[in-house]
Amino acid sequence: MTDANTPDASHQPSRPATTTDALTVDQAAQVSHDVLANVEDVIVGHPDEIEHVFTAILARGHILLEDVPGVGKTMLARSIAASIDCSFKRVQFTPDLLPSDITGVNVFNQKTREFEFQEGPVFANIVLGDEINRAPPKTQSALLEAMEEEQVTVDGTTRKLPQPFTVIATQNAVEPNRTYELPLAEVDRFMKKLNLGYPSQAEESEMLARVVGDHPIDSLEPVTDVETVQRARRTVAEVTVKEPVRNYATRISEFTREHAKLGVSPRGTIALLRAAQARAVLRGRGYVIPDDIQAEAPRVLSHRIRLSASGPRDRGVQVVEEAIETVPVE
Amino acid sequence: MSAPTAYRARSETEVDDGVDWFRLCALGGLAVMTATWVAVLYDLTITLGGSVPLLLLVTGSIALAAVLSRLISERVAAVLTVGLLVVSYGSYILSTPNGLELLLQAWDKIIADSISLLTGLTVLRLKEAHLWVLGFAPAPAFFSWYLAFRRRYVLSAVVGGLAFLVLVLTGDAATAFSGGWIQRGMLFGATLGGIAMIGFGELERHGGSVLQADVLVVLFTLMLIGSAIQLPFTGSALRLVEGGPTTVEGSLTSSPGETTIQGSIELSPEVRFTVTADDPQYWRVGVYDRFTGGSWLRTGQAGPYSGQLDPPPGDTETVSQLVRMHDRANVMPAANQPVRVEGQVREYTQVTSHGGLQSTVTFQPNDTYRVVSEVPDPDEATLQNAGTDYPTAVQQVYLAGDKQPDFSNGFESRTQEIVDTAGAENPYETAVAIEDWLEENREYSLDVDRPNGNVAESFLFEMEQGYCVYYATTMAMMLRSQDIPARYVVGYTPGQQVGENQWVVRGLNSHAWVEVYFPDVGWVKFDPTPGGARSDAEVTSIEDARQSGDGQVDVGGSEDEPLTTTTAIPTNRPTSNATDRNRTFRDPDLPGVGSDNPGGSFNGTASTPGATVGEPEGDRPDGFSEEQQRYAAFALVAMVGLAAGAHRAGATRAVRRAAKLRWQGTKREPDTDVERAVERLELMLERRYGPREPNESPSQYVERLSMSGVDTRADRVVELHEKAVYGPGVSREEADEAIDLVDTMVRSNTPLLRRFAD
Repeated sequence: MTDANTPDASHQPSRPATTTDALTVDQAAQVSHDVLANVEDVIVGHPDEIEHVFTAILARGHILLEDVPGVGKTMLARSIAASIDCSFKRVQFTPDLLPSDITGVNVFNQKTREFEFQEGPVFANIVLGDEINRAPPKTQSALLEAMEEEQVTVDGTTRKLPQPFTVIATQNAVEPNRTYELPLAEVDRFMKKLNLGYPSQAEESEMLARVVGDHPIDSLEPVTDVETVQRARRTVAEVTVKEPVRNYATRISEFTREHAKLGVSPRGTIALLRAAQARAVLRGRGYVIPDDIQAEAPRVLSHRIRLSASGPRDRGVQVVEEAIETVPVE
Repeated sequence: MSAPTAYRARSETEVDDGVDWFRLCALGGLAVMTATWVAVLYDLTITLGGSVPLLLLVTGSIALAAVLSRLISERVAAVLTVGLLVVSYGSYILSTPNGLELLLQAWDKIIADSISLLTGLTVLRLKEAHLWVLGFAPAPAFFSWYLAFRRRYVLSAVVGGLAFLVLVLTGDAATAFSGGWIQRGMLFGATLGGIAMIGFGELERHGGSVLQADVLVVLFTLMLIGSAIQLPFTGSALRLVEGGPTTVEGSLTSSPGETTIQGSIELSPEVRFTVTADDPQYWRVGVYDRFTGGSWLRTGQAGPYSGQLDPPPGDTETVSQLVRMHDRANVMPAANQPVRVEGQVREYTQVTSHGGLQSTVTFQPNDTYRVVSEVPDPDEATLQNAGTDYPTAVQQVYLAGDKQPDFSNGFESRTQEIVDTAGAENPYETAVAIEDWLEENREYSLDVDRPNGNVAESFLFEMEQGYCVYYATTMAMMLRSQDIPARYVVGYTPGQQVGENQWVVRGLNSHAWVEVYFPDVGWVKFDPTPGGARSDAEVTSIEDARQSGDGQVDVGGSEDEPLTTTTAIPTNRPTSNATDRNRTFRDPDLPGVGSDNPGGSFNGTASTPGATVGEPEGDRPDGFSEEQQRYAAFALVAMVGLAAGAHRAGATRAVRRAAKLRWQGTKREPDTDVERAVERLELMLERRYGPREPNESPSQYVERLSMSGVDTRADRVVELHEKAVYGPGVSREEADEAIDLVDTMVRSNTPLLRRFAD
């Protein structure tokens, strides 16, 4: 893989706000590996999940982490934020949380006799929404709107969110009767849904060793900056996706639609392609191959699939695996 | 032919939502197939009677199949079919004389009879053949259509094909289709129909397209090839089980049981045998009872000779005859009615159900046997007063059937007219009247155009001349139309007397005549052929042959004797059986008993006098022989079929793959070159490790195989492949690199080229 090519520089940047040029694929891959190595200093195990989180950031996606409490969801988000040297905010969702608690409010300043906008926690590069399913739907939707639009509207004024903007939401898989389950339409807005799972015994032992004394997160140094991540994101966006791969992705989506009550939406197919682009960059490739699609599909597509209205949601994974098994690669 | 019946069910098959052409074609194929074998049966019923019941039965069976196909399961239908067959065969056996006894005790006989039926014995020679035909038809008609309606086309074709096969094996199919091209076409029709049904049916079942019709092409071709090859085991060429040594007075007979009436013939002046006897007699060879319009058949079974036979009931003259063969034959000429056979030849003698003798072995020249006959010798008054109190057995066999007489009403009334004109008042006078009328009103000639259709009717109404076969046939049928039991007999006239009690019998002495039954007398000979003309023909023939130096014409001293002989009909040469095993036995009682041939010739008809040629297979469709053009067309079709077959069998694909694996082909775009290189790589790996899964990309495939030892060169190739297919493309150098890598790998995996690798 020595001859990774540079994405065509003549491509018009899709986001006028950014003035910087895209990194080369190799540079972007190097940055990514630096970040991942840094994060793995803190987080024990879960190398795939760490990679998936970072590729989602590169692919302009948001992540839903669903797991039992205490497996390191928050720690993962924090370490990535710390590695990038970007702003990081955390919102603990509770049943009494209001939308303005997330987006921010206009506060009347006695001195200047004006309303001033007080930014909510959503104004950060990486936002950790903890236990998002504990808040009522109205509050959830405030966050979800920000995710989709990358902007916040308060009292008629629209404010852009900082770039990059990535939400890492966690969902508590236990205590389901005290939660508001995310509607499918909102789950669809997360690019990926990840499960961390428990560490192995060796990993957990290693983890214990690390937390003795100073917690490694405290000494974590950033290895890159927001600017570089933005340029890497441009690299990812420009990764070549040729027709055979596009067809392959659509055939996979098509398959899920044929084999489930509710299949993957076109938004899901787009997300799949973007995630595959990011993965290609991490592998130092300027083009997507079917392997990328296959690697990303389970985490990108599963949560968008419903087999039946009331059935267990986990079955979506099986449908996607079946699709990968069945749909031929050209 | 009776083709249309089978088409009736077609309309039922049209589906509501538009016409299903494949299904229609499939059922059409079955219709053709059914029509073919029903046509064979129909052809039989023309002789036997029961044409209308046959068609009704077949039509009814198909209609029943249409109804039941929706109601009963296949298992039930199969049981029903087998039951139908068993019941009909059982009732057929019961309808024959001693049927019940046979059914209870003689299963082995029934099986042996069935086998001989399936080895070329025509159905016509069964005693109750029309019952057999009617019993046979419904089961296959029902079951094949039932299966077709349930879309089980292959099984349906098998059932229909079996029905046809049975008729092919009995030789009746060949006889029925021996006529013109139409009939031969019908013969093709059965198999073509069956194959069309299988093909179209499968296409229908699996929703196939016209493109898959190559299967049909293959099948049609196989068919064509198969039909061009003569089936050696049909007809009487080979008999698996000798019908001989059974005592059953059952339904079946053994050979030689049929004699076909010919057109123009020639006389053979060669000596067949000599007879030493006190009196000249007609040396009888074969007795036939069933007339089909064009040939005579012998029904019933022949059994081994087991001692003294019953003499005729009335006064008889005892004739002891010593016969010395001069040519090979498996017949035993003897005067009516033989009662005793002497010498070791007894063991090889069979007695037909009509009291005639035949040999299971072929006599060689100089073989000798002695037969004692009791010739009925009634005076005229006895015959005049014999009455009409015929035994039931005689009535059943030798009278015209009620079901379907073998003659028309016109024939009967014309005969009546002749009899009335002569003023005949009893059977004897009737027989004499008919004999006289034929002798006076028809000219003797060997040069005859064989008429189509019923020979007896033609000879009575249309023909002006004929020879003994025509005279005898016509007289026998005329007598039957007057309810007088009569039978057709072939044999030899006494021949040339060469000594005080010795007669030389030549081929031209062969003759046909009539035997008429008189109560308390037995079978009495009548010869309606005019005598003078026959003698002239015979003398001419012998003198011609003598002048041309034919050594077979005379035996010791016969050239010195006057040619005061009687009659002549020609025969083709006696049996020359190439399979003879020479086993010589000597009998001290009999001078010069020669060799014999146990289990030898079954081409019995050929040695039976009376123009009894006409083996069924002689008229059989013989495929495409000599004609060059047709041969070329056949070869072309066969080639197309082979090509289609090879295509179907994947041969072309295999060749293409092998070629593709080894030759990259001309270089084009770098990207396509790399793609091609990877295809070759996959072909190579597939051979050793199994194919790439459809859900695997080439890289995953190679990665999976890397555990099995695929080297890193493959990794590089698939990497370049990905770049070419999914990425920005590859350069010329990269493409060449991929091609070289694959070339090397293919060489090192090819046995002979391996040494050149690397």
